[in-house]
Amino acid sequence: MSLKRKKKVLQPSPRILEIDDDFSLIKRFIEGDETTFRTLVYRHKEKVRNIVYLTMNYSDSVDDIAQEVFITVYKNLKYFRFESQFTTWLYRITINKCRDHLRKLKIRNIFTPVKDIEEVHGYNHINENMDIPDIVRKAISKLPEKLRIPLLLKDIEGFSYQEIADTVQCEIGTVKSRIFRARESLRNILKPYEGEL
Amino acid sequence: MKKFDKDIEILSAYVDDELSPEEVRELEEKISLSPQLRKKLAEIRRLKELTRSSFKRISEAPYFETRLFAALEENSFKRRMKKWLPVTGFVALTLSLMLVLKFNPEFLENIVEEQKLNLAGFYKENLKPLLFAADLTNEDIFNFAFYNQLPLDNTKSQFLQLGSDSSGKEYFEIRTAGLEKENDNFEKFVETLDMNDFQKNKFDSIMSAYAEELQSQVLVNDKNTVAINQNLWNYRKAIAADILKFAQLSNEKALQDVMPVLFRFETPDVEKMVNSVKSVNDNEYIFFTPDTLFVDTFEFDKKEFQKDMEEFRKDMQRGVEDYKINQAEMKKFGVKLKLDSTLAKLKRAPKVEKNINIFIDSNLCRVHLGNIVIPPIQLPNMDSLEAIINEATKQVQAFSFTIPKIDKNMSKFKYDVKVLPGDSIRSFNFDVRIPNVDSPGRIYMDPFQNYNWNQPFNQDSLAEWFENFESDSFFYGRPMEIEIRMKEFEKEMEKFKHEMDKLKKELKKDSVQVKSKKPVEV
Repeated sequence: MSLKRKKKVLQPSPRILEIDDDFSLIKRFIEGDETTFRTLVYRHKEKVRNIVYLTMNYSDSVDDIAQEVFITVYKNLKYFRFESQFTTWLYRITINKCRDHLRKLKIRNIFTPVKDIEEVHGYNHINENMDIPDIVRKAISKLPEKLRIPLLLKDIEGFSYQEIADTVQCEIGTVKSRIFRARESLRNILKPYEGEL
Repeated sequence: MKKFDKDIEILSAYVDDELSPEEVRELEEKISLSPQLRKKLAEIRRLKELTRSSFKRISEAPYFETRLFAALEENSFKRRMKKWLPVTGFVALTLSLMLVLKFNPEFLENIVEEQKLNLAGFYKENLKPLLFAADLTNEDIFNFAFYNQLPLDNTKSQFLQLGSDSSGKEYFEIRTAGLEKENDNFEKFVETLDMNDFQKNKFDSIMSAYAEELQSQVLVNDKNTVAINQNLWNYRKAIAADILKFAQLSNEKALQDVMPVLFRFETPDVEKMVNSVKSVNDNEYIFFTPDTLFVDTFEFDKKEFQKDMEEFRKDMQRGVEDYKINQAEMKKFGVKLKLDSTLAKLKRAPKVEKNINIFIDSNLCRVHLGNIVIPPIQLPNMDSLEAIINEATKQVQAFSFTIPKIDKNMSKFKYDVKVLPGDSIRSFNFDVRIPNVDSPGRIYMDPFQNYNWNQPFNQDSLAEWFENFESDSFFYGRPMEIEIRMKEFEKEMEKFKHEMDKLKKELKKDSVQVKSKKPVEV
């Protein structure tokens, strides 16, 4: 009797595989098992935090924004339609949250003296004492948002063009073009530092 | 150049491994042929590498989940609270109300009482004496004493009428029609007494003193409130007694002409009664408002008001402009109740005092006081004095019969009789055809004494007059001698009436006979 039971425990059941799947976790969440949300958070939090970190250019409010993303997901998970990957939906929410914050930041900056903005963020100046990664980061931060986000999603997060198109909600050709333009711009910005690079 | 840019864009996608195998083959062919493209490819690869190497992964946040779930918990608690807030609030309210009612059962009653007090307070604001608004004259005081009527505004379009029903319970009514102008009862009374200047002055001072006293008895305000002091009924008796006492002292003989022979006031009794009425602690008022009716105490500061009145009189003297302003101010206090619609809701209104019956007609609103007690005046000989006052009031009312002046050549006049004390609704109109009447006074004293019966008259109208004749009301209160003579005359007239009827029948027979005759041929 005990052997039989032992056997059952040891055998990998197909249900376990099902549990690992995002969709099944969401289904269980919709059915009332809210603990599955914890698994989803654990699984995707770092990716979300990194996207926020890359998109927002500074890490001060990364966790706050990431939390907002997961709270939005928690509130809207029951409306998830299973038509796309959960990650696509999650990253789209993440990018939208970042955009909201960037918009607020822009509005706030209108009413803040230029000096203060530079003191706080300090990402527009490239100093001679900076090391190469710093120079590159500052140069990327100078790119417009619509060029910077696809470039970073591709080069850092390793997203495919299709994934980027789904996340930022545009055509795949647009993504291709934006990434090319981002690289061209970046090259122009970094031209003075060609020798050091 | 454009073509080159396009190639570089494809080169960028090539570095990102986003080209189809066919595109890759084509591009690789181009690259092998173009050193420029090879250089560009190296550049793009270098940029990609630089980008990738410039960003480190963000360090893990150990408390991220803890913070997130705490925030979620708070959020979900808020949402749950939001969902259950109406129900929770309702339950909490019910429970607290139950608790309050358990430990303080009079809570709701107190609230209702408070509301009543607030309403009462609202209507008790700014109360001013009626005199201020209606400007009472001597005649008004006289009419109040004997006809129980006080005008409620200076245009005299509404009146306060006091009275008592058959069971002796007092009532008051606010009505649109008062005494008719042609009655001139006060003038007749003064005329009858034939007072000298000194007496007239004294009479005036008595009346104006009562006008002052009445100030605090009936109060009105700009919210159409009439506050009637419960002592007002006693005041009326006191004024009546005082006037009659004065009349008795001034011209007893003239008074006896209009009063019964045995009628007599004892001066000390009257004085005692007047003093007693004045000494009653009269701060209980019946508040009559468009919304409700209630009895409450109200302290009217007579001294303060006297001061105000003094200032008001000074203002009046200052100039025409000020006078106009004050006139407008005074008009504000004139009571103008809409008897047809405004007061209709009084019937349904929650009344503070129970057993108050309200009767509303198109031109009057009568309020039976029910349990409201008129403060009694304690006097040893009160009953007899009250009986005398009541009797005298009736006499004065009878005294005021109005008979219009009749021309000698006039063949018809209208005769208005308003005799029943306290019953202002009933009135009788007679069309009396009496030719050759010397004066109305003669009709009153002995209507047919000088009547020339040989002259032609309209027998039908005379007969009709006798049929409508209400001897009781007409003879009521006449001197005994006249009454006896009138009764004798009435008997004669009855006989005469029978004879006239017989004559009429005979005449009719004759006329029938004439008709039945054959026409005479010419």
